[in-house]
Amino acid sequence: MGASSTTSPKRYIKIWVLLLGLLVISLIGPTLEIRVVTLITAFGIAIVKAAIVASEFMHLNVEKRYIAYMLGTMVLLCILFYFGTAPDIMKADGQNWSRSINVENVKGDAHP
Amino acid sequence: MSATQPIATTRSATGIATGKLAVWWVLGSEIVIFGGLLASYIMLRLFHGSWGAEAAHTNTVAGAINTFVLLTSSLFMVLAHHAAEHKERDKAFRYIWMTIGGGLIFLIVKGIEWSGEIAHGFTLTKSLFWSFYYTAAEMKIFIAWS
Repeated sequence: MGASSTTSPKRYIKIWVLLLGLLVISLIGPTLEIRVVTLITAFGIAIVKAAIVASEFMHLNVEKRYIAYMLGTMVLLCILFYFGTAPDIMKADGQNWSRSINVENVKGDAHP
Repeated sequence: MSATQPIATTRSATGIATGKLAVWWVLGSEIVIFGGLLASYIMLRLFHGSWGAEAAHTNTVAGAINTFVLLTSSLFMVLAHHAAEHKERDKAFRYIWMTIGGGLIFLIVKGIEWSGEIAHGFTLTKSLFWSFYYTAAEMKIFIAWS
């Protein structure tokens, strides 16, 4: 039942070397202090690395499609939950509403 | 009385082993947990310049070492899986022990890193950035442990 991988250890080691190379790039990128480069190298490469690990090391590339569909659904739910509520948190007012709580008076570090 | 095998190992509606499917469900649920946490971190980091200044106090070397350890541990784990598939029992156990060793190294490096940061006053309650920082790592350790 399920998929069994026929990948050789050499391929796994090649993938590992690739991941280490991406790690080095993600460490060097932010040192340039260019916002776009930082976003691409720090966050973008992290997403690429996660995709490579899921595909090659966790054998998502040989698993049945149900697994990929399930994971994709989780990502969509995460996006929906976050962006559905983020504007209320990130903004102080909108077209038809404004935040009634004065966050400066809220105890604690309201403004990070 | 004859021994019966548990349903989890004998029945599958999807063609995928039930235990394997359950592990994927757990991993999928972690996408929602960590996805929300990381998305919040990214948004706050982009919209609040002070977060960048706070992040400068983190230990990049320790983070890089831990990332290397995690990647290497995942390599050992997949090699253990490969050895187990080919009935190479001793090799599989050896790789699993190496994976466990990687986990312990991760905890030691994390302990040294956090000790230094806490000694400099960067605690969980110092600011929202540091709350995120410690909470995300603690959740990762807790889920990996479980």
